[in-house]
Amino acid sequence: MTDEKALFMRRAIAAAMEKSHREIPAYALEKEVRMDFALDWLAAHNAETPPPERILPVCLYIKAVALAAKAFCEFNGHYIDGGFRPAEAVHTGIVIALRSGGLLAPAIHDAHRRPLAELMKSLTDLVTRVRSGHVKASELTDPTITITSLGDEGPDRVFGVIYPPQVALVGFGRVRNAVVVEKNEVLPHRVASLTLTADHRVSDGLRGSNFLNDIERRLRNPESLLPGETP
Amino acid sequence: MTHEEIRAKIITYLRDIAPEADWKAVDPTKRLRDQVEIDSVDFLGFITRIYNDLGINVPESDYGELDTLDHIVAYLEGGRHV
Repeated sequence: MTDEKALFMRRAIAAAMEKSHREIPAYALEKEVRMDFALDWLAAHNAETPPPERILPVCLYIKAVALAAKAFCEFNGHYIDGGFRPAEAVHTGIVIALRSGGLLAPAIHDAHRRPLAELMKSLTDLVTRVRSGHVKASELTDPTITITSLGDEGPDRVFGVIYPPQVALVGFGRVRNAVVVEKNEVLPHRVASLTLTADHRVSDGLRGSNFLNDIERRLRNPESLLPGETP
Repeated sequence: MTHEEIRAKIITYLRDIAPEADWKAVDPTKRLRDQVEIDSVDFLGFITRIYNDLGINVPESDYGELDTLDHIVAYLEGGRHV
């Protein structure tokens, strides 16, 4: 990317983040979630499939968040002109970093309705086009909620900044080993920190908490994320 | 394929994934991910290219072995074919 383009991008991100900070009274919640169910299921699936059909964990994140956002509408939509407009469909923005610095968060459309395999294809296509600079402007304004995941080498947790006029951002920290106490058993498990940054004009902590619980339930039941649904 | 041919192909695939990286400066004995920004989508793209072009199916359980350029070439020379 040219220096000029990089500067332009940095300015656009800065403007959005300033607006977010200035206008959105945000609250943040975190939940540590067991990831072994989802990752073991994924490993079994990928062991039986050739590389072009393998699915990445981030796809599970996208589908789980999309289905939960469909059920919890205060996190899916836009705050415009002093009021919240819930969205009918869930178009998940996914933060994609550019190697030279900067990032874009274009939409994966109708993520709640599509099978995992299709989401994977959309994600791969988006990453390619973001890196080569071929993303349509509409793809950047279409998201109804955004997801950020900094990957295996990323931090334990990320509290992102909501991208206005959206009202929520779901973050995924890296998958790590931790001691989990469940039903009086103390065992090591793979976990990840799931975070929500949300607009307090639209939702409150109890709803936010239930929203995160819903995402967690879906990640603990990965089979439920496989299929798509007819509109 | 010779060792050099495999190495050349691998570098081509990696160059296509991260064209702005200085591939001449990459230390083949050190972790690739510490030297070049390659995320999980990039890595799967790389594995898919190996599958499509070289006919080698690298299972997920072996991904950890492909951490340095030298290790990648050695693994592929070992030749586990579809």
